[in-house]
Parts: sequence; C-alpha cells; structure tokens
Amino acid sequence: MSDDSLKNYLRKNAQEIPEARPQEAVRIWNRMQQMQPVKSAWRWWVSSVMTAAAALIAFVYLRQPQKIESLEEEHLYREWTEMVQEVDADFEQEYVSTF
Amino acid sequence: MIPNRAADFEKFYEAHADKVRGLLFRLVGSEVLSDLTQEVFMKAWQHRDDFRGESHASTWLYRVAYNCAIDFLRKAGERSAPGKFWQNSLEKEVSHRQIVEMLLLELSWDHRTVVVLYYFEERPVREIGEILSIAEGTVKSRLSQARQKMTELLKMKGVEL
Repeated sequence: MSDDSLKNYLRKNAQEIPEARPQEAVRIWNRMQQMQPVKSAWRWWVSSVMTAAAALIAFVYLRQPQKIESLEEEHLYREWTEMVQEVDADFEQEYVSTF
Repeated sequence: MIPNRAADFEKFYEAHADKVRGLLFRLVGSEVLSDLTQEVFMKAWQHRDDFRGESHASTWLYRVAYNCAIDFLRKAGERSAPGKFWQNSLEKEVSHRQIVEMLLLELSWDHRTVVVLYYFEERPVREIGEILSIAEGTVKSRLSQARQKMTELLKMKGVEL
C-alpha cells in the first residue's frame, strides 16, 4: 500500500468537521472582553495585598535592627568608658609610684 | 502577527479556525469542539506576547490546540483504549467512513496525533516535530508504526488500496 493511496483513502472517507456556530469569532471576542474586568479586578486585589504585605515586612524588618543597633552602641560606649577609666587609673598609679 | 483589535481578531480567527477545529475534532470529537476551540483562541490571545514569530502562527496555534486537547483528555481521563472499537464492529456493516473513524480510535494517542497532523492536516514532518516538541525521527517512527497498524486493520476489513 502506497502512502499516497492511504492518505487519499483517509481523506476521502474522513468524517466532515461540523460547521462552526455563526459569529463564533465575535462570541469568543466578547467572552474575552467579559473576562477582562474580572481579571484586572483580581490583579488589582493581588497587587494591593502584596504591596501591603511588603510594606509590613519592610516596617518590621527595619524597626528591629535599629533597636539592636542602639543597644549595641550603648554597650560599646559603656565598655569604652570603662576601659578608658581603667587605663587612666593605671596611668595615674604608675605616675604616682614613679615620682 | 497576532492581532489586538476585534476586527483583527476576527480575521485571525477566520484564517486559522479550520486548522484548529480540524485537529481538535479528530483528536477529541465533536461534543467539546466549540468549547475547546474557544479555549484555544482565548489562550492564543492571552499569550500572544509569547509568540515571537520563530515559527508560523499556524504552527504555534496547532501547538496550543494540541495542549488544550491533551489537558481536556487528562481531566476527562479519556485516553484511547485501542482494540475495543475494532472488535465491537461487525464485519459487513461498516462503511468506509466508519472504518476511518475506527482506525483513528484504534491508534494510540501519540500515533493518532501524528496521523491527523500528517494525513489530514497535511503538515510536514518537521512542523509536526515542532508542534509536538519531538524530534523529526520520532515523528517518522510514529508515522511508520501507525501506518503499519492501519494497514493491518484495513486488511482485516478487506480494504485493498
């Protein structure tokens, strides 16, 4: 059996494709237009929620390190002061014992 | 290439509807043909930015249609069950039209797809490979296996070509 004869047989005896409904393109177009407001409303809702979530995360994230930072600074300052006092005390003692 | 206005969409639909409907009809039948056609054109419209003109618009649309058909069959759990249609048919009662219909139903999904695209839609092997995302060699081997199967079945029905 040749390929062409098989092809001719299949095409000749194939079921006919049912006719499309009239104005099918217009129907599909209208359907797409109907779906658009729903889609944009959904997009608007999702983007609002995401923006609010991002703002909340940024607020929480930025607040926390500031606290830690100021605590660290305070601690370092206290350590530095203590160290300076110790050094001054040692120096004074050394000065007294020398003279 | 892909339109963005109602009138252009209509032109686009008219240019490609027969191909899309032809493929869908032979793959999934007439019951869901309108719904799936609508789905294909809507998806093509929504994803028109993905089409970069690397292939013909028709190749891209065939691809979208094929994916829609696969999705539908997966959801419906309706992959073909080769064997049952042929065995149930009575030898003398079937017309050539019914034989062709049964031939397609007898083929596995993969074979039926390449047969429809090659023999009915007359797409070249290279394009079928693009549509199905498979190598040309795979298309050829599927076609050869499908042809062998169809020849055997036609012989069983006494059809000489």
